[in-house]
Amino acid sequence: MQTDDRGGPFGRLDPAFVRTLRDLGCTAIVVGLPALLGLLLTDRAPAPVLTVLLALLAASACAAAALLIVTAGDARLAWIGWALACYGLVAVPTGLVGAIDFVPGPTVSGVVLLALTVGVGALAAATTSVPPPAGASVIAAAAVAAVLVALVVRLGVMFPMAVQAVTAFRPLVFVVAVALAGIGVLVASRARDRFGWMIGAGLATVGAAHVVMAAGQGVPLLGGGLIFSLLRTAGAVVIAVGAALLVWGAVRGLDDQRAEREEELRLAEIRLARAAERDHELRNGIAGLAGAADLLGTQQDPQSALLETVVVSELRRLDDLLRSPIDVPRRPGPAAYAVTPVLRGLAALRRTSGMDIDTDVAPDLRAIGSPSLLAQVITNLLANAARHAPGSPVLVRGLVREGTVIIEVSDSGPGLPPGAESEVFDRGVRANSGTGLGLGLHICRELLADQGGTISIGPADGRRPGCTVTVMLPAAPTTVASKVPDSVAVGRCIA
Amino acid sequence: MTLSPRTGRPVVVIDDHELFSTSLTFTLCARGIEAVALPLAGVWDVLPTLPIGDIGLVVLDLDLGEDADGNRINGADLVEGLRQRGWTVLVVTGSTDPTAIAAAIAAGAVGSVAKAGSLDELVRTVSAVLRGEQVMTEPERHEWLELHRRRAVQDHDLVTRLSRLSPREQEVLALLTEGMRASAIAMHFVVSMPTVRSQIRSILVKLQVNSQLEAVAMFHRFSGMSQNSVERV
Repeated sequence: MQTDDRGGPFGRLDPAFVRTLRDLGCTAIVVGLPALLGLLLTDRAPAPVLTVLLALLAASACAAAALLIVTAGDARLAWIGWALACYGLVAVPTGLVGAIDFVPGPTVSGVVLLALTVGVGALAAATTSVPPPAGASVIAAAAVAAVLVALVVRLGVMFPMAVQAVTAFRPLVFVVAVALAGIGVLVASRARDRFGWMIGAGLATVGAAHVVMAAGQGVPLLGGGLIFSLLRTAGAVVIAVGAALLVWGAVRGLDDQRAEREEELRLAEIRLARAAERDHELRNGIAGLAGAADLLGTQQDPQSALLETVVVSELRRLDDLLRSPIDVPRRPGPAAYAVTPVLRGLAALRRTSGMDIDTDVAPDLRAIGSPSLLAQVITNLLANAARHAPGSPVLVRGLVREGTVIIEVSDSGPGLPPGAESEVFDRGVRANSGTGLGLGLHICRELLADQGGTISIGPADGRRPGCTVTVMLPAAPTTVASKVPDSVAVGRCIA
Repeated sequence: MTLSPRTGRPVVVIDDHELFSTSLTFTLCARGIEAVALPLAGVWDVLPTLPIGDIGLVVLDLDLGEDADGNRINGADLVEGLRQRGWTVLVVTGSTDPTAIAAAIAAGAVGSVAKAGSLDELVRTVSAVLRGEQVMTEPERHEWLELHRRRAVQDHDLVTRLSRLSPREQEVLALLTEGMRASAIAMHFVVSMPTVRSQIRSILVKLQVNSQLEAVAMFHRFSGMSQNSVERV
């Protein structure tokens, strides 16, 4: 364990060993406390009351543990549950009844012995892979147990001597007790978790109590009921604590299972919603394609070539949509977008407000980044042209060369004074100060740089007046660039 | 080529769906209506670039995808700004959810047309708007406003509940809505699984819902809400 270097007294020990030590300590405390309490109390409290209380406690704890373990769904635990049920629901109450001297002693001993035998049988089954009774056979088994108990009670009443002969046969009682202790040890040693271990240890303690009782008949110290009831009580308490921990763990496990099922439900619902969204988008796309096909069929116009490129890119988009996995949310990120319509749209807008503007843009320019950033930058450049070169014709050119989309906005105005080409990009210099529209060229450059683009102003050229601003963007891969002749791009209406 | 008189009021189609905007401008041009397509997704900053005055008609898509930060853009939020700059706004939508339409009408859009309908119908409506005709009856408008009012009450309730969440809980809910597993969220925030489980339980309690499904639906509705209605609350 390299990760755990906190040091401390257990720093270098195997964590599993430390855990076992801790469990042993806890068990010692759990067993020792009631034992000590019992020793102190037996002198002061009336013994029958204490016995009844402890027996009731043990019976109810055993019953609860048995119920839980039988329903836990684990074959081994279910068998232990059956054993506990025999002990807690039959043997302990019967012993109690015997203590109040209500029925003849041999009958009580007979029922207790029967319950113990069946219980030990169930514990033995727990160490094998035999499946426990489940469903309707649980009721059947309980009915058989009830009939058996009734039978023994009846036999005990009818032939008290015979039953007494069996129950007083000390070797038999001794063997049963030793078997119980042995099975307890077996269960503890095979336990997969600390709950099983505690239940096993508790069973072994109860078995040991009976062994002491059977072996110590007549011996002064061991023969008394005190050590027997102390050991038995301690064992029952350990079993009860183990079972309580098991209950807690099971409840938490159930909670986790519920959370997991709910998660699966949520994921399924999200997947469904995404699929529905995609269906919807595909339907819209197909409706659009159908409309475009109608237009292409009826119109023989040079501009239909432009529509064709859009149709092709729409088909590509729908294809991408179908190919993308539905489990992965579509993350916003650098995406390809069409540059051409943005340039044409902005130019056309300017034209409506009176600018003499023309476009010469390749029909299927696609760049990586955000179309709205490009729109901001171009808007800014057109505003600058309108301000600094009023009335001058403006030309927006767009082409792709070696993986770069090149956009030029040029006017025939006075241009920039020589040497000022880079100054205008400095921080604080706003070419369009006064109106507050658009962005400063400095910010334009920074935003473009974020998307791998550049902006520059060419040096003044004596032969050609005006100012030419060049924006370069990373081009997106395209498949239909060469299909459409450039001439259609100069359309005046769908600019 | 001019079938209808040039009004000098151009039509600007703002839609991130290139095919739709191109087809529509194509058809409008064929009918002699001057049309411009702006196939933009994140159009917030383009608003100021449109000239001011009684200029023309914007055909605005209500679902404009996501902006650079991944937030969904609700076209309804643009209607008010466009109206203020003097543009008439007609909204189109491919969605079946009427909430966004109601918000757009409340913000001053003159009408709405479903994208699923035919292009001809859309062109007829655009022509009618350009001629200055009403494309929506007064009772219809009233119904939209009433729906918007009802939705505003629901939105208010939604935002109130979501505002009870701590910032971390809001992050967790956002990741749940994206379809992330609780285990992946635990790894994402470098916390233990029980921590995430208890955060999820706390989210459900604060939102007063019984399942993750309902919580996710609430957050989904919230992220689709128009910016205006979020700020109003």
